[in-house]
Amino acid sequence: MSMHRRRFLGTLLQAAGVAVFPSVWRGRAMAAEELAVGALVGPGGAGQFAVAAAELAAEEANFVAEAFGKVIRLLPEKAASTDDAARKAMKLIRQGGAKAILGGGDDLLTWAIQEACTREGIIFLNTTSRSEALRGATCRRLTFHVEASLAMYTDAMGQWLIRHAKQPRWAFLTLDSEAGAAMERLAKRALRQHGGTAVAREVVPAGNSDYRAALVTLAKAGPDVVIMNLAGPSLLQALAQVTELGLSVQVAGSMMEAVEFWQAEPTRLTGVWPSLWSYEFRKYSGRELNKRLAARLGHPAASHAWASYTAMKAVWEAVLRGGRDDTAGLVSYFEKGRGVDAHKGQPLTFRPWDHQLRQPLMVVRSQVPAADAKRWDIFELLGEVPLRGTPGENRAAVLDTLGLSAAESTCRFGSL
Amino acid sequence: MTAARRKIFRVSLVGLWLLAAACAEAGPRLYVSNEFVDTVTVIDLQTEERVATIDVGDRPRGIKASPDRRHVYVALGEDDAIGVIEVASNKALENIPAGEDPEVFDISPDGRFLYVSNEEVNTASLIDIAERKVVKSVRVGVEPEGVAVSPDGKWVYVSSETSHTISVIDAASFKVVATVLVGDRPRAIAFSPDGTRAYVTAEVGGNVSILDAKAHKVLETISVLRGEEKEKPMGVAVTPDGSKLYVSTGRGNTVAVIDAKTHNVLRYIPVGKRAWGIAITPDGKRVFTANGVSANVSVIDTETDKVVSTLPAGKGAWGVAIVW
Repeated sequence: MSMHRRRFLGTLLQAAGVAVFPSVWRGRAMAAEELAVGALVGPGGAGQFAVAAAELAAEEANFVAEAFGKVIRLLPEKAASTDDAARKAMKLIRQGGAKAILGGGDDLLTWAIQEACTREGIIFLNTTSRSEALRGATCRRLTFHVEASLAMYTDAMGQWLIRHAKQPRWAFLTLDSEAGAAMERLAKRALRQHGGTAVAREVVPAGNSDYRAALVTLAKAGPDVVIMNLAGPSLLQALAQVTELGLSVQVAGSMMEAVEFWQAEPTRLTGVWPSLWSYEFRKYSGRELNKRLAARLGHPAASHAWASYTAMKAVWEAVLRGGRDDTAGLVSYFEKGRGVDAHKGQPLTFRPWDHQLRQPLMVVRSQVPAADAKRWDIFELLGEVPLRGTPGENRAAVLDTLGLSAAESTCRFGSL
Repeated sequence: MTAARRKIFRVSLVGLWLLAAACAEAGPRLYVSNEFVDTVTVIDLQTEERVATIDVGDRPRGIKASPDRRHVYVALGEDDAIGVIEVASNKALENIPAGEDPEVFDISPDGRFLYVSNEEVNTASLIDIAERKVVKSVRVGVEPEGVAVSPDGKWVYVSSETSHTISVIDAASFKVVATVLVGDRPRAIAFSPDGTRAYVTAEVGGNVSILDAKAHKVLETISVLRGEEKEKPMGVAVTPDGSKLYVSTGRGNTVAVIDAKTHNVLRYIPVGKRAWGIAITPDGKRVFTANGVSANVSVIDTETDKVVSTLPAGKGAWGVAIVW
C-alpha cells in the first residue's frame, strides 16, 4: 500500500471514528472546526458586561471543545440603534459566519436583531428583553428567550409577596403608557392567581417625574405593598421620592434592572424585586460561577451577564450534545426539550409554545450598603421562586407557574 | 549496629507497635467533613458515638483515609491545602499545600500520591505526600470536582461540572489521554472493584453514566429521576463484590440502589436531608451518607437496604471516610 493510500485510509478511519464516537476524544486533538457565535448588544453599560460574560462562556467551552473537534469563536458587536442592530446582525452572519447570535438591547433593538436573524435563517438568543410581544404576536421560531418574560417576573413577585411574605393587599402606581398598562395587567393577573386584593390605583402621566402626591394617596389606602408599574428612570425617580417622603410602605415591581440601580444613589433605593440572577447566589455552583464572572467583569454579575453566559453555554451544549451546528439542528435540539445547565440546580428547557426558557427566578431586596461594604452591594438575596412546595407533576410544570401558559400565549410559530 | 543505634531501633519498634495498637484499639471509625463549621466529626462505629470533633481549616469537603489507615486527609478549599489528621491521636497535623481551591481527591493505591481537583483554576494536581508538595498539574475541564483512581492505579478520572466531562489522566505521565462527555454536571466517580467499570453521577442530568474503564467510553446512562424529579445524584459507592451501587441523591434526600448487572434502580432509601458524600464498609455491610442540611449521617444496612441508625455530625456534613 502506498504512503498516499495509507494516509487516505487513515484519514477516513479517523473521520469514521469521530462520527461513531463523537462523545469521546482520545489522545491527540483532531483538527478543530470553528463555530462562530455573534454577541450583539445595544448601547449602555449592561452590554459591556454581557459581552464579557459571553466571552467567559466561550473560553470555558473551548477548554474542552477541541477535544470534540470544535473551537468557538465569539464575535462581539455593539449596535447604536435598531437600524444599526439589523445591519450588524447581517454582518455577523454574512461576513462572520455566525451560526447563532445572542444578545439584545431594549425591546425594539432586540426585535430588530430577531428579524434580521430570522431573515438570514439563524437562531437568536434574547438575553435582554422581557417583552411579551416578542414572545407573543411578534414571536419567531428561530428566537429563544434566555431572559425571563415580564409575566414571569410578575408571577415571581406575586408568589413571593402573597404566598411567602403574606402581603396580599396591593396598590398600583402605574405610568400612563402602553408599558405601564402591560405591567399593571400582568400584576392584576398575578393578584388574581394568588388570591390578593387591589386596594388602590394611581395613574401618573408619562413624562411626569413627580410621583409624590400619588405615593402619599396610595400609602393612605393602607396596602401591604405598592406595586411600581414603572421602569428605568421613572422607577428610580419614584423610589427616590418614596425614601424622600419617608414612607414606610413596602414597594415592589417587575422591572428592576440591577445595572440601572447600581448607577443610582443607594440611599434613594428601596423595594423587593424579582431578578434573573444574584451575585449573592451560592447554590448549585452559583458561588463558583459568580466568582468567575466577577473576576472577568471586574464587577459582580447582574442578570444580563448571567443571561449572556447562559446563552453562549446553551449554544455550545446544543452543538456538543446534539452533534449539529446548523439552524435546523439547533432548533430541533432546543424544541425537543433538551436541558441547558445554567447553575440553577436543574436542567432548564425552552417552552414549546413561545421558546421561553423555563427557570427559577430570584427575589432580592434593595439595601443600603453597610459602611464597610462595597458600593455595589445594594441587594440582599431573599430567596428563589417558584417557592419550595409549589405543586406540579414534574420540574417543568412547577416552573410553568411563572409566565403565560400555552393557552394564554398568542405566539404561533411558522415552519422552518 | 552500635549500641546507640540498637537503642534507637528498639525505641522505634516500640513506637510503631504503640501506634498500631492505638489504631487497633480504636476500632473502626467514621470521619465526617463538615463544610460549614470547618470541622471533622469522628464517630466510633462500634459504639456509634462521637469521639472527637477536630478543627481542620477552612471549608472541608472531600475526605479519605490513607491505605495504611494511619491518616485521614481532608480537602480544605479555602486554605488551598489538604488537611492531615493523625488517626491514632485524632489531631490535625500540618497541612499539605494542594494548589488553589482543592475540593475532592483520591489517593494512589500505594499511598504515596494524592490526586486533587482544583475547582477554581480548572486543573488536577498530583501531590507527593512525602515531599508535601504539588509535583504536577494538568488542565482538565471547567469546575473540576470528582476524582477517582482506578484500582490498579493506572488511571485517574476527574469530572468537570461545567464542561460535563470526565478527563482521563494517565497516572504515570499525569497527562490527559481522553475526554469523555457524560451527564450534566458530573460529580462523583467510583470504579468497580475489578476496575472494568467506572460510575459517574450527574447532579443536573439526574443520572449515572456507566463507563468502560478500559476503553474510556460511556456504555449506558441510567436515570435516577422519578415523579417530581427531585433527585440530584451526588455520591456513589460500589459494594465490594461489585453487585450494587449506592447513589446519594442530594436534595432528593434518598439513596438510590442500582443493580450493577441489570442497571435497574432497585429501590430508593429515605435518608437525611441533602445526602451528599457516601462510603461503604470494606465488608460491604454498611453504607454511610453525610447529610448536609440535617447535619448527620445515615447508616444503611445493605442486607435490608434500610436505615438502621442516624449519627450526629456537623453543619454542612459533606463527605465520609471510613478507617476500618
